[in-house]
Amino acid sequence: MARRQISFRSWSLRFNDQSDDVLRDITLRIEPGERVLITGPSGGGKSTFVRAIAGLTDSAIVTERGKRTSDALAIAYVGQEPDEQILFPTIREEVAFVAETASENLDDVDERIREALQSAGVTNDPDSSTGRLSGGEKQRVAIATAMAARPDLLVLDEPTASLDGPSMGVVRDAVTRIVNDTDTTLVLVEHRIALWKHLVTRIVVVADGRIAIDGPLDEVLTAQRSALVALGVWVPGHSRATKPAAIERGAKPVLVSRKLVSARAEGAKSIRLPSLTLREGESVALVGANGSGKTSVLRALGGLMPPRGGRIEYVGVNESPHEIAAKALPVIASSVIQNPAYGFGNGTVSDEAPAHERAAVGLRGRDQRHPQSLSGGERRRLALATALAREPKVLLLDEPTFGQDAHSWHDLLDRLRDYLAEGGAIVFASHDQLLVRSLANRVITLGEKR
Amino acid sequence: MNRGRHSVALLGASAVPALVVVWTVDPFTPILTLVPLLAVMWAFAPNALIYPSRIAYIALGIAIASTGIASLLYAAPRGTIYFELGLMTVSDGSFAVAAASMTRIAAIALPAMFVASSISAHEFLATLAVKRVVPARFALATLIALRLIPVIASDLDETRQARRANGLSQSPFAVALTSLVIAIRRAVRMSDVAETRGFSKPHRLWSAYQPMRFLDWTLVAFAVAVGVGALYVTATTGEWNSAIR
Repeated sequence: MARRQISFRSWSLRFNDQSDDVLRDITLRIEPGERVLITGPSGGGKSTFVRAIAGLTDSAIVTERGKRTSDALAIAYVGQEPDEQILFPTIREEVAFVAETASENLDDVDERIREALQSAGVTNDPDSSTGRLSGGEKQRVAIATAMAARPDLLVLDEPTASLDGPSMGVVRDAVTRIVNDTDTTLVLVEHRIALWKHLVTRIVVVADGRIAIDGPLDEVLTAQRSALVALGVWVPGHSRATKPAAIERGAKPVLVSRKLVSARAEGAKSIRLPSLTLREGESVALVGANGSGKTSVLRALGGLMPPRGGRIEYVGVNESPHEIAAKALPVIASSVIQNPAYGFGNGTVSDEAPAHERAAVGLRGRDQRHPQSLSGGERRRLALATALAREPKVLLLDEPTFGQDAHSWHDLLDRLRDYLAEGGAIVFASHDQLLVRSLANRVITLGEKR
Repeated sequence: MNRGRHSVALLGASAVPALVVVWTVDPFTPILTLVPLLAVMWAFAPNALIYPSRIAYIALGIAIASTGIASLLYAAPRGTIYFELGLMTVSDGSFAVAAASMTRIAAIALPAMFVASSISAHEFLATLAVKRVVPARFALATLIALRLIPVIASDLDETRQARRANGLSQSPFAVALTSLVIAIRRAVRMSDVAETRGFSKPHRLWSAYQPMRFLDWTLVAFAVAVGVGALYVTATTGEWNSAIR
């Protein structure tokens, strides 16, 4: 296969509906066979940059200046959100779509499908439905699909962002095998350097729309360690858990749940939560693999949907949480769901949450932006600021640290600890072990069997 | 992949009653079409006939019953009048119209319900694309839209719960609007994914495409013969009640 390269020279990009450049004065050259990790602060322009590398800039909505050249013959791109990577009803159709586009004859299509599924380690029946796959399996199928084009450049934008530990390993192993076996050039966006340290050779840090650091990974990790830390990069071995504050003696109970049985939807499997009494100042973590029921338990506790069985009671409130009027609910139990985009009710960030709460979770300088236009990590912080502004008795958080850089992560932890110190109480679901160790007074593991 | 009868043949055969009943409004033609057609389909594609779910039967039952009641009460009065109240009139004529419309619905819906699970949307659309009945982009976009139906259904649930979490109204309009915005944003990102995978490439192969074989054509021919035969019998026995005036 021909070896090709990508280059940017004094290149800038602006969204036509915004007044400032999102990416500024970028000069970068990626040689064939390189393995590049792109990282940097949440909202710094990483995703926009890799989309440009993948050739996904739409001239109708952006203006580019400077020079961008790509000699890659076939570029494969896999984004963050598993559901957005899957286009067809079955695994075979999904992979075949790319193979049929890239091939000249049908025998080659079958060969490409077989090879792609094998290289990404997809062991599911190819005729099974893509809708029933777990998040990790969907990402693995998306990577297999990308490989069916036999690309010379593979671009991955946080492919493990929404996955639990085992699923993350599945995706990492698939990418490692592909890159080692095929010599494909790899460009990968990721906050967790530790996860990919074995594979990538070069690190590019994008901060505030510019390339702040660019060099060989090992060298940068030692020589520029403090610069990385200052930029909020998750430097392996740098962040350590600090113990959560102890609950005050005699703290009053705020939430009591007995024999709770919840389910994601009608007909879905039942999830049982051990009896729970949550006190003022207390924080409880729900942990477990993807699909173990953390979200459905949180939603039942938060009154977003009725439980299948058992009893949930907020102290001093007569109704069950799902019967509380919508207007009154967020003051008692305020939920921040995994994708807060579904719940934004205003046209600008400044209308969505007060300035001091936004600043407290490290969300600055986005006042006039539409909430939907924020990066994934920023959206979560905005939703958290909105929830905290209501001073709820209990805060229910679903994966609050997805997509956060080290700075915003610490801002978020500090604000949550303040809230607990003021007498609030938290139930949160997370795959983030550092957060669990730093915030939870108690850990409940759901769905031990996978 | 094991392929039974061709999706185009199954769909074509199951569409015959719909083409037959436009000619005459009587309760006999639909039955004269339905019964032999199911027999023909069973003979040519026994594995393609799959019992529909209970929900599908219930939906069909509701459709038949509501059409029957509406025809009974509101069809133009003819012959003996049995009951009259305001606009509602039950007469010999309305009984005939009710019987005809109920059997029509059953004849149109049942064959389609029996083959619904066996028809491959991909094979069907691939055939349309390869035969240039529709552009390839249209066929691909339709397939992607089919996969998105359950995703959009879950968007509605998510929006309802997220709005409740924020103390906002869960009015159907507000929920639909937010879900629409999110669906459009997702569609934009998915079209990027599709584009990087060669969605707009002018020439592509379709491995889901299969040419129609002899038995597929024979099934269609027999199904058409059943339809024509039913119309002939109705006309010669004097039951014909022309629907086209």
